[in-house]
Amino acid sequence: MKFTVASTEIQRVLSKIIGVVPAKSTLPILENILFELKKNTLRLMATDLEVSMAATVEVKGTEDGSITIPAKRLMETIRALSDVNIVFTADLASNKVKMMTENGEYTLLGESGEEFPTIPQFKGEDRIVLDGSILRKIIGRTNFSVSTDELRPAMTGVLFQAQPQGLRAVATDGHRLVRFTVKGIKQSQLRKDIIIPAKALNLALRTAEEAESTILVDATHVQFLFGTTTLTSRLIEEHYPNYESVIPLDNTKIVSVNRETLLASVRRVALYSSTTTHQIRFSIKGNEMRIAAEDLDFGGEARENVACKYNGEEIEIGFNSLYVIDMLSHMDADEVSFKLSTPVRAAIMTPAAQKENEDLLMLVMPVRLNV
Amino acid sequence: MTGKIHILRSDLANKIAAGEVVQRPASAIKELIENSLDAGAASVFVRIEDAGKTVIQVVDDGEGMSEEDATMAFRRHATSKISVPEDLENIQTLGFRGEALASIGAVSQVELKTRTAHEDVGTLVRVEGDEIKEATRIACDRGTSVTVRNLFYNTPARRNFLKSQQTERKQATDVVTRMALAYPNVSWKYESDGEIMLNLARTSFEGRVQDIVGKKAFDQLVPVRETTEYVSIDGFIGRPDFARRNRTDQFLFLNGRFIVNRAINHAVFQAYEHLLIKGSFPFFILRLRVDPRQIDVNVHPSKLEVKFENESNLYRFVLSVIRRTLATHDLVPSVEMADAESGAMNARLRFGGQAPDPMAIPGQIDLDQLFRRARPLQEGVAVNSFGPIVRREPAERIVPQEAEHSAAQDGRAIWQVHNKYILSQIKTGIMIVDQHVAHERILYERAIASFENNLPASQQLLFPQTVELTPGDSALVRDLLPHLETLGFVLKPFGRNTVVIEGIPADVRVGSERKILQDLLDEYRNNEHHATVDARDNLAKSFACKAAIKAGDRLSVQEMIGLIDQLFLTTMPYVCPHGRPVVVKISLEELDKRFGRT
Repeated sequence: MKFTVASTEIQRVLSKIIGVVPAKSTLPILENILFELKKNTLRLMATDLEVSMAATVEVKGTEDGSITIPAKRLMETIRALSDVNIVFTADLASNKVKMMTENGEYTLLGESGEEFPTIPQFKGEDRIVLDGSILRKIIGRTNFSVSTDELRPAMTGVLFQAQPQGLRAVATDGHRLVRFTVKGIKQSQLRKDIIIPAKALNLALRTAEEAESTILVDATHVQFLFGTTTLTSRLIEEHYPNYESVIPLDNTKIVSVNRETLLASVRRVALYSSTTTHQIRFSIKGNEMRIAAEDLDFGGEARENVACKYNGEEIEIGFNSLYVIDMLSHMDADEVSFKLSTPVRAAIMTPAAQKENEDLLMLVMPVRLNV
Repeated sequence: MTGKIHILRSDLANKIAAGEVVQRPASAIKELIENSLDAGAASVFVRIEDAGKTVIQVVDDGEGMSEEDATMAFRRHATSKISVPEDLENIQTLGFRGEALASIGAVSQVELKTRTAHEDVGTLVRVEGDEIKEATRIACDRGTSVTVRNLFYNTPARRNFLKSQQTERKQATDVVTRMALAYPNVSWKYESDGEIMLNLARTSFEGRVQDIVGKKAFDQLVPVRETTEYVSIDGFIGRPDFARRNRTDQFLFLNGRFIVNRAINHAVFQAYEHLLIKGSFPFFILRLRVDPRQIDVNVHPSKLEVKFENESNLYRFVLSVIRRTLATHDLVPSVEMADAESGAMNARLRFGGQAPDPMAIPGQIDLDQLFRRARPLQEGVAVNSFGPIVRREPAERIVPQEAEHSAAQDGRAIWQVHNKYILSQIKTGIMIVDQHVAHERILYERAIASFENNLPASQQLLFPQTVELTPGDSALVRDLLPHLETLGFVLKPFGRNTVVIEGIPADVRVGSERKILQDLLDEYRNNEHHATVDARDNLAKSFACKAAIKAGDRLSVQEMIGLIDQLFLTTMPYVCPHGRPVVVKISLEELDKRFGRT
């Protein structure tokens, strides 16, 4: 195998897919990137067996072939090069890969391309077509609240559902939940609910461009097509918990407050919360919301008042401040509404005014306060 | 026709009585040594042959006896130690019953040589089976020498019941050892079958303890001292990792007498509480002094048991003194590498630091200097019935040490090793913390504290978790429900053997609710089999063990710092609730030594 490519070109492609390469793997070949050259098209591929990414780049090919190259050293070398042309030569018998620049020569030991795990042939049955910016928004709104608990695999991904109102994405870790529905998707053909792993979505978030993206779904896998880059991931084949049943409909105590003011305030007060429970306390009375935290271990405490609009009866409710900060910072509304009922029941947070074509609902379980 | 009932012949009566006083060679040795000490001996020589079965000889340089006294001494109830009934209330001597010599004489062949200081010629008395066979004048040294031959020669049953040679010899040795510990101002020599077992010059109590336990072991001991009007205590206790698998290394002396008292032993054991690994017993040598009028030694002829006028007060006194002593000592094990000649790296755990004055507060601990914290030592805290839990005072947060080191991420030199241990630089070397047990200690104390407050914070669950339990576990949950709630669980029994978890303690790692409850119940049952523990304490331990981060969990630098900060806020950061060490230090000197930098 032999080809010539500009270092900036190959770096651009490599950086798209390098995120898939596992840092340590029981299968050492996964720490390599597969190079496949056909005429003038070079296809790079990386996989961790769950998620795989491939990207193509046009090069000046001399001799076809395929080989795998250690990802880390390759990437570091190319990143360290200035803008030069590189001639790649791979000796398929000895698996030696030589990179030559005008005044340098670098040799790496790769492995045969045939040993690289094959990616199952993908035949998309369902198809969603949407703007890259919308996809990024969906992921950004939801992915932060998935669970990392491997005991409940369903929650380690984001649920995608076709709804009459539009495409819906749901994420929860059992303590909080985000439900985001988007209308006006160009093409939305999704005949079943799917759960996409968080890692795949993170990679998609990084790769998605402004341009149109296509999502293909079959029985076991999902594939994202972003121009010349594809990302394929296994789906989480589990039953997603019945999230609808836990969203309360009768939360009548409604408080609205400026999001940024509240977020800044919670961030400051949370510095004084216990480092293990991160507990903060909201006391809402009239048009004032008082946020307080105390750290019994180290004897610190903080209190702040934030103006709000509220006309229900006084309520005091506790939260894990990390959740509140997470949620507030993943919204982009000016005003946020809290819908509360009792101090031990779910609290709902929504933008006071939903954006056009969007419906965002966040839910957080309170911490029962010690009275 | 004569009646069937008659008074026993005196030799027979003596034989019967002897059974109580002289049960084995060791008891004869004890009685003879006590006589020597009551006679004011400054040195005592004990010789046994054949584990004391053939020969027991006790020689002293005490005041000796006159000829008349020497023969009188073998009569039952003959004593010089008390004379009027009031004396019995205020016994100052070891013996007083006037039975020992008579009893020994009844079951063996005794030869007694004695001379008082103002006589020139001594007395020899030979007794065999309660009969005085010979009483003559003889030249001998000042003091008394008693030789007991063929113990139990005329009571074959008793002789047959003697245990093996080793057991009897050990018993004899124990007696001499105890006496030697109780009387450091007496010089001792002890010979068994011609071999010198002990040869102790008169010394201080410390010196004697060191002689008996050995220099190395002595370093593992912590001094104890406390005096009140009613009682005084002094002695040494072993650091927790010096504990033994059995109770043999427990010495309790009351007014110079070795005694066995379950209550006091228990008080000491209780004071160690969680510091000891299950099934081990603390080492201690304690001397109690109580006004003789407050005690009754006349419970049993062997005088091993003593009745106290106010045993429960004494129990509390011992408990709090020992607890305070333990709390004021540096209990961090430090690693001492193997000796050079052994070559191997089998580093041995040792509780480091010198034994400072027992009343000192723990200012000398290096860790404290790093983790500046206020840990007020409260008087009387130890009497709390629920473990050494001190109401915690807010402490200062760790102040990062000034940069003499090229530190990790945020200025603190702290690393996680194998996702299992936390390694940190401290002023005098390095410190290694076991992350699981450290967290366990924190959770344990928090759990205990939350039992006392009501309703702690409880993270409510979005999806209540249904747990199916066995009927036994289900019943247990019902029993423990109020306690579980004070820990932060919100549980709703649902149907017969099902329980719904609606909330969990706020500091439990997300996502493991069901597992934690199940594990907690298992652990609780497990603990129940051992010892009688308080239900709440057991629950706290089980909860701490199961909810704590595990070996293998990755921690961020922030988490590690948080963990260590909180660890050192606990009352006993060095030992986990099960008695395993939490912190190990390796001193710079030790490292220097390893690298040949000395």
